[in-house]
Amino acid sequence: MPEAQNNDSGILIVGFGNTQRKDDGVGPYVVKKLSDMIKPLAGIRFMHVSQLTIEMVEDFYAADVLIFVDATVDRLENGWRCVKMMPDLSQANFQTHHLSPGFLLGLLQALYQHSPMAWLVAVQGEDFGFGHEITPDARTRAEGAMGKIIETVETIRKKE
Amino acid sequence: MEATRKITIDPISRIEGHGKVVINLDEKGDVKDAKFHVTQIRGFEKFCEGRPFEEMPVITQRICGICPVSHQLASAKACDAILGVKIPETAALLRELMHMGQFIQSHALHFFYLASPDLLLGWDANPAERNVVGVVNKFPELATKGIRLRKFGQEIIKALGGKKIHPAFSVPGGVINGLSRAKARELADGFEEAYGTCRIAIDTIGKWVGDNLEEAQKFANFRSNYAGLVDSEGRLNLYDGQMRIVDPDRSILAQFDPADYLNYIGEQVEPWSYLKFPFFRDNGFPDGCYRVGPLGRINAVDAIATPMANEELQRFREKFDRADIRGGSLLYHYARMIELLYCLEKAGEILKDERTYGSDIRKTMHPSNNKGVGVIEAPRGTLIHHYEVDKYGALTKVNLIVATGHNNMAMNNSVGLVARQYIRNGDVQEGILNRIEGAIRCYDPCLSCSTHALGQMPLRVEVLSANGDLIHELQKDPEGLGYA
Repeated sequence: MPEAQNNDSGILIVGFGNTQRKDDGVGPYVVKKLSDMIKPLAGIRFMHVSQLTIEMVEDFYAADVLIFVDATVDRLENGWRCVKMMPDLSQANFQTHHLSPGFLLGLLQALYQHSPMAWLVAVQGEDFGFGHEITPDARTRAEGAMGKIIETVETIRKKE
Repeated sequence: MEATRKITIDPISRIEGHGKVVINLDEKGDVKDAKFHVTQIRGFEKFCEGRPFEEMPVITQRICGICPVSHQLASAKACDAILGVKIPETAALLRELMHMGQFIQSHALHFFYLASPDLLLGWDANPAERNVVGVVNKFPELATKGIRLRKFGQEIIKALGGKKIHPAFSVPGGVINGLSRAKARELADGFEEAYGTCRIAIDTIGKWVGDNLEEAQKFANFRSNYAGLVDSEGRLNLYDGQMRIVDPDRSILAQFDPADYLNYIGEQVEPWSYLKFPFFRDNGFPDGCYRVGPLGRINAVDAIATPMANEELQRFREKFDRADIRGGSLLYHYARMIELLYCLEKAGEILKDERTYGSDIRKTMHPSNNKGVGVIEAPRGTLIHHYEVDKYGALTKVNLIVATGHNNMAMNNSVGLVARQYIRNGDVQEGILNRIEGAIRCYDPCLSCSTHALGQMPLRVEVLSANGDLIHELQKDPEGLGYA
């Protein structure tokens, strides 16, 4: 079995989105805020990127838990949602510019027989136009999402 | 009774960008003509007008998520020319190092994930399996090595530009960061594995071509000119040099300062595509078809400056530098891996060069020219950024000729040849359509770059009757698993 060469472990929180398209950057925004809030805790890594690409499976390999944070255009009751992610290789045609969390989880499973627990936290955006600012509405929703992520992390750590 | 048919492939899969192929059949069901259409427009050349020229390295790298480095470098070189500055040698070495990282990640991605399903699983394999997942399932070790090689290239980019995609690095007059020796040592640790993977790729494609020689000879094989940048000794140069155009027998037709490209390259516009058709002016349109990218470069150069890649080039030429196979489009895959080896060697050379660690990395000055042309070899071929500015430095003209544009005529020729080779009496199988897509895939086109197009990427095939009616349309289903 091929082996990834990454010795880090624990929880990896990955925010992705285009920070030049306002609320599309809410994933990286959430991760940057969280890294300030929960930095003292060991075993948690943070990553913020424009998009998910295939070589990231190398970064994901050692994680026991993956939490993806992304923006969504969906209208959500609480302004955010948290769903459990499963490996999904049905996006097989492979568009190199962006991959889904499920596809990367599928690759992790197929290449490394590794299936970390994973969640996707989606935050409803309002404005995806050009600009670096996250809208006030999206910031408010991001606060709720951050609370859920912290709760999830704490629950996982209590079980360890 | 229907007289003729039209086949549409839309979207084309495993390429960077959106396009479609339309095939017109005659009364007998044989191919009358076939066209590769690019159907979107983004308009960078227009909306950049009026912007300060210094912004262009940042703006134009957003054209593409796969080759942002190439656009940033070509743009920075065009801006250097407007400033009238020769950048410090440390800056030039660092730019070239990032460029090598870009090639490594892009060539690895194409070979292992876009091209390998056809080569390793077969043209006629079940389309639900003939994709990256099929490769992962059947060749997991190779797939993993491909991922790690791509990551290695991305790490070079990140070491210099802070991030892997859309890095901030090249600016008018130089670069904004130096490279620490500690970071260089980290990168150096990755070479042994990268060379090993590259060797596997070269052996794999070499064996494939050897085992499928007849197909390599017949598949989209045609006479064309070839083009690419060369150094002062006529060797491969991906960052700088003169542009050389050779004829189908590899005799030099022209070699010139790329800034003078307009004297040698014309651009034809056709009503059915947003992608322009560059041509070699001396031959006119359409006879002035030339090919860029890996095969274009490998056929245009005299040699390669690094020893291992040059050895591979000689081995390649002993087998394939013949009139009956030189123009075979499948050889692009082989040429791409020879270039990958060159890029690894070149990156290693730069990291060992003491000048790479200098502190003089940028020259600033006021613009001294109202025009600047920046040319580099991007992974897919020659990339030209041409800007003109007013006395305030605001852009009055922007012309971008990207690799996929240079190859537009060649891709159309390839589509037509493969369609004629395989479609007979109206019999159109999925595997045939995949071969037509595969002909395009050889060139590794990036339609986002070439049209500056907005949207998603995939391809469609249409079959039209003799009187132009759409009678058959094949379109990739939403999951991309086959044709609907």
